[in-house]
Amino acid sequence: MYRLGVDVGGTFTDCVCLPPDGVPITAKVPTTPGDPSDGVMNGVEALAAKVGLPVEDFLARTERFVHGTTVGTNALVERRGAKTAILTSRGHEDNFIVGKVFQKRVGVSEREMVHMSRLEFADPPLVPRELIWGVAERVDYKGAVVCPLDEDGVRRAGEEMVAAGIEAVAVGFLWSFMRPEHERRAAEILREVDPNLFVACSAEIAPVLGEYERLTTTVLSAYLGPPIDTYLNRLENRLSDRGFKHTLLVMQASGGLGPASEARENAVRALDSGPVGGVLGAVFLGALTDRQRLICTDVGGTTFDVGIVDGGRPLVETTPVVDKYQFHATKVQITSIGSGGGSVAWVDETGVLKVGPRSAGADPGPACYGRGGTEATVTDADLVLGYMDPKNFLGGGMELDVAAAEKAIDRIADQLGIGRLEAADGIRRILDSQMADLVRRTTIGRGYDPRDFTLLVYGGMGPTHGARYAADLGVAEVVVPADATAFSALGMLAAPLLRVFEASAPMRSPLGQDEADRITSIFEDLESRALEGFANDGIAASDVDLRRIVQLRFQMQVHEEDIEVPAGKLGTADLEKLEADFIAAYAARYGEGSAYAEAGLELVSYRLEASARTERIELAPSGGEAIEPSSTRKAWFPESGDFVETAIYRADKIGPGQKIEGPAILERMGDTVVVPPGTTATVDGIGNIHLDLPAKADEVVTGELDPITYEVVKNRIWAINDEQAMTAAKISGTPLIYESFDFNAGILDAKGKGVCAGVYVTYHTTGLDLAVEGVMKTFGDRDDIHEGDVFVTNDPWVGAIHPSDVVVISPVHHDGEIVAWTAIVMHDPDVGGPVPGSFAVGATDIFSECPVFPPLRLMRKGVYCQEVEDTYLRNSRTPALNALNMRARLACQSVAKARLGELIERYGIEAVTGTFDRIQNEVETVISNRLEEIPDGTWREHCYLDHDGNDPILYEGHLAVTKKGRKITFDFTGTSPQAPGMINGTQSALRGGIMAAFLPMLCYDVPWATGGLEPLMEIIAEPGTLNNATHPAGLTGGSVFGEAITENLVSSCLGKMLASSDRHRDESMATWYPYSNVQVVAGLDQFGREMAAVLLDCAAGGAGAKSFRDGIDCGGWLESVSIAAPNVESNERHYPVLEVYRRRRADTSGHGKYRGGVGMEIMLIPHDNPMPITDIVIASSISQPEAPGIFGALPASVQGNLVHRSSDVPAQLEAGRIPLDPSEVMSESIDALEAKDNTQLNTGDAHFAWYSGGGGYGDPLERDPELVVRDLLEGLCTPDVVSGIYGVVVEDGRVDTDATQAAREGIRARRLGDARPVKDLVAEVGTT
Amino acid sequence: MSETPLHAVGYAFNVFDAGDGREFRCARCEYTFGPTTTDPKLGAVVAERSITESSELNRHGAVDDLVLREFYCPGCGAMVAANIQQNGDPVLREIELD
Repeated sequence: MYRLGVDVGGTFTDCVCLPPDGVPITAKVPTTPGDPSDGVMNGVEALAAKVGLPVEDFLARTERFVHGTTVGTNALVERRGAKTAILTSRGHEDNFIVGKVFQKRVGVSEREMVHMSRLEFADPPLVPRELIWGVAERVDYKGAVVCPLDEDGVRRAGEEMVAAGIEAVAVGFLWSFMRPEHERRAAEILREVDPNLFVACSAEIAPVLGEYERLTTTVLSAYLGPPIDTYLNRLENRLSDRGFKHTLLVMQASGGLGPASEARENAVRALDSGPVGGVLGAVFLGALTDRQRLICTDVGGTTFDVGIVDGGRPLVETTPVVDKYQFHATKVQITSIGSGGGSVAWVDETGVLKVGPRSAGADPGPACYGRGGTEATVTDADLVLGYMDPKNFLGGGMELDVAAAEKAIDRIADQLGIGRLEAADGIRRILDSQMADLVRRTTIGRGYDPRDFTLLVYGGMGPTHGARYAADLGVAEVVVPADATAFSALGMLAAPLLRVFEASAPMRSPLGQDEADRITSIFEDLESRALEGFANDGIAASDVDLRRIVQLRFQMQVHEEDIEVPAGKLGTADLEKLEADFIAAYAARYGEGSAYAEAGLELVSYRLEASARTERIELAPSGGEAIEPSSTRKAWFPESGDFVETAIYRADKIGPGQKIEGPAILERMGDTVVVPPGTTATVDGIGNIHLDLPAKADEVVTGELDPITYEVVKNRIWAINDEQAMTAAKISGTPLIYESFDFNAGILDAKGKGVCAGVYVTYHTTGLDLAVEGVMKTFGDRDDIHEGDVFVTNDPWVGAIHPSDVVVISPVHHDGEIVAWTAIVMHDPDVGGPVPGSFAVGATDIFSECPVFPPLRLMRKGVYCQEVEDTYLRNSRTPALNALNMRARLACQSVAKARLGELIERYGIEAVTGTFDRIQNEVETVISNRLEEIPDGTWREHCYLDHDGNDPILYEGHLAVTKKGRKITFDFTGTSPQAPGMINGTQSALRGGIMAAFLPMLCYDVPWATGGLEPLMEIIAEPGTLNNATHPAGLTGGSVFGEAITENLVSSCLGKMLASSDRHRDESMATWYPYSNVQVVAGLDQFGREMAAVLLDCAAGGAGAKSFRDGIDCGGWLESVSIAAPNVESNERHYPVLEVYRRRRADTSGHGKYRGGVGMEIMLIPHDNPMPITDIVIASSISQPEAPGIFGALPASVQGNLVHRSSDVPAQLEAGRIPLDPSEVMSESIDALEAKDNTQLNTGDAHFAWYSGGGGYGDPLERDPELVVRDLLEGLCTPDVVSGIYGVVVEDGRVDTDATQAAREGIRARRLGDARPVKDLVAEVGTT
Repeated sequence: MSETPLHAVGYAFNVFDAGDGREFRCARCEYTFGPTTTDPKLGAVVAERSITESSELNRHGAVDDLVLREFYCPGCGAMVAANIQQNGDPVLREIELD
């Protein structure tokens, strides 16, 4: 009998047949995008021909047919899925559209996400807003029904969906995984309305906590289900017609196989399964060669993919991303970057060589393809270096043009002022270092040391580069599989039939026998479902392996670990072992001491992986014998610094056991294995090539730093910065950090000047410089800074933005000298003082706010000063969370210091410090050039801050930005004196506020080296003013007020400045969501624990309009690239509240040709807690509209907070109604909260809040009328605005063009009729 | 002097060479606001309105203390700037090019 594997790729369909003799037969045929089943059948015919049988006989003798398909991925990317609707809980219809604010940066690399004017949500969304229906129903965090399901409403929605031509419906209700009955009943009703509707329920598709990810998973399944169903039906019929008698098996992203019927029901499982084949091949190869730990690297033309196999199993992730949508599914983890053979090399304006991320693609492709491409690529460099035979590319199927490659490389060499070979080798080195960095991030980021692994290299370019990036990683062994096509497809053939089931039922420690019984019961239920499925496939329970996995975390943390539990009935001893295993795994991944067991554990979800054992595939031994080189060729190796006459071997002729010493090149049909000097190649018994690498050599550089080493070391420093920040975010226990990333980390030079900072809260970047300066001043002056020291401060007059921001700083020593600093600042939830959360509403100065400590030594020569931490924690209401954050900071510092040490060891101190200097020079050069290109001039703005925490006074901010040549001056003269309250900012907030706008608007493509920007800037701010406050001003709100007023002023001025340049206009934006509207809830939570928490719904203000597009609705703050608004379920799980609705608010944006993004509105009530909740509001822009519009656009609206006392909201919910506006609520009274307020919420009270949008751009009368109508239909603006501000006349939902033109002319005429000359007004009031 | 703009400033203005210097003109109707060294707003006309006219939500704000100043091109009525300020505050100069 035969076994077949067919994997449909973008270009080729790879096919493999495993006959009884174990010698694989392969075929490669073109993919047929119109109907991929044509390509599959062509592949089957090709295999049948090679086997020597008619297709019908061949398929009749085939017992297993495994299929990997890209139909789902293609349908998603090309938006060719089913016309899909969403049915969700009323009041939460925008959940899918807003994407937790975070969607704008999902799937975007750290290097790209800093370009904020280019960030967008999924466009277009898979389901537009008009196809989302809400229905009254509500369940709470315990699974209790708060509002019954409106069945008539479901039926009405179903009828409307059918009328709209809907083919598939995703049903996703809040907390449905705790009580799925509402979703099930809704699905029944929808099927009654139309039995042909494809209906997917979130509690079935992804029964886990987190309504956004649960819903996206369900939408993806609904969207892709019908096209996958159609395709698989067609393929099954064609195979069956030609003689195949068994069940078609489909490759799943989970790493297993499933019957085609299951791929239809949960299509998301087959999504993005293509790259998984290579990892499964690694599993297969590892089993054959007795290797359990493998790093799988696939180097293609445009991308580089990395996966990990540990213990013989692929590592999986549970919240993968596809096309901007983060969803929930068990998926083999693959990490990718845009690096490959087609990556284009280029020289930037400072004379530094860069490679990628742009690719030449397949057409025109690299210059050497001879298809018109002229840009140098990695493939051209490899050809010039002699690694590739121009006549043997693609097995001789295509001859490469060496002269074209040389010409392209010469252009790069000329720009760099170096020779051709040096340039080509530089391109290779940079690509190899990028790939090594991704492997490091993938392995070290998960707590693995790459040196403990075998590196597997495949893909067209992998064998050419594998030995080099392996050496960079310190890996000792590289394996190049015998045949990449057969390798991936064989991996699929060897994969088990796999069924993954999940359940979510949060449980907290202490864990006793009751919990053990519940867990046993959950797994037994999952096991019976799994075994029933296998029984239907004819597989006996005895042939099924069951693996029970619990996902758990510390109660205050978000990062989960998978821990296995044994089969059978669980007891307390099993749970004790579960706890111990978790703590050990956590410490192993995040570092010794990072586990904070005192926090207690939370069991989050339960996963069962059920796999049917498959017959082991045995491969026949490969042939060959000891051979001599077939020829020699000149190839360039940096070890010898010149061309070397290099032995060339036909790899398929090399016999098992023969050793070949590098330098050598082993040529195969589809690739070339480069064996560098010092490396030994051998071939094993089944044709795989093993490379044994020499001990890692250093590449110490002395003297002048060459541009290629600079680029390599610079990228490494950048990667270290990414790693240190993510280390901290993973360990922290506060949603402010792990969900909203209110922190930042940086690397600074020996003088304390910033070299690079992370893509998190940008206003922290310059505070780090100041904090290091403060430490040097305090301790350096007395020569008291030592190796192993760590310092801490929360002093805003030193470097913190406000006292909640605790900064930890470490010197990095080399040979006894300080050569660098690493620093991290992180917001702690409460640092003491009279007000929970430490935003000291009512304070008059720092003495009445909270403790502030100047730089203190937290660690002396490596010994921790516990008394310092104890003193700090003693003042806090949240000592456990603060302690956890302190561990996060220390781990971050430890990682950064270790990595910098490794870098110094490898490249030498001169290369590292030289790179620090050059990064700063590069940034200075690039940005000063950019400034030079902008016309000289002055741009002004003013804005207000309302309420100082005591009185509702309006304070003013003024800014004049003057740009002359290559310099820019920020002059804040005229800004109000510092206030007698908590809103002031110090120098650190002032400088941070400038950077928060300057970095994303002008520095979007360079490291954030603030040290390089300093020489370009002058800042004028009078001491004793609102944003340059002196001691003892109150400033616990410095981060959201003193900083924000600066940021708003700067962003508006820069928006106008950039718009004055034709070249830089596309970077111009209006002001984003101007001020926070923070709500802190405090008191006791529903579990009786002390609580002081910021509700981060307030992250969802609107983004500023761009010069070419509307601002992002609910796009967040400019200063926080990575901000996220948490799931409603996340809030309700932690805090005693219920969010009645959360949706976009009409008319919060600034209207304009391009409007600002709108902000969010919420209504929440106390829930499941009879105790009053302390409700603290810290906001601005309550009295005055901020976020100014520019060039004739209007500003965004004010924001606000209304509390309806003793309302009927709970009664309405119980009666089956969900109010969607305060006007639908009856209450005894309404309190309009002041901008800073401190009140209480009692049972029955309802807090209604809305958040400002972003400023607009250009005259609203210039807006495309069609966009105005779209906004009206989506509920983003009101009819009065449509006619009064936009002058658009709408008839039956359509624009009346003639009437609109007339209306607009009428508005212009009215404007002029109402107006008077400005000079008259100036005569009365003057000018600024 | 040139009849093609040297460059634009947002969507509101174009900058032209006027022979003895540069000048701002309306991007919609080419009305001349004046030399680029002076904020073009000073060559515009202005209407002062309630802040509720830019958003009905602003009724919750300090309606009596603040004013919405809308600046229009005298030639065509295009809105070229809009500021919210306290009643009686000086006119905000926004853009001046050397």
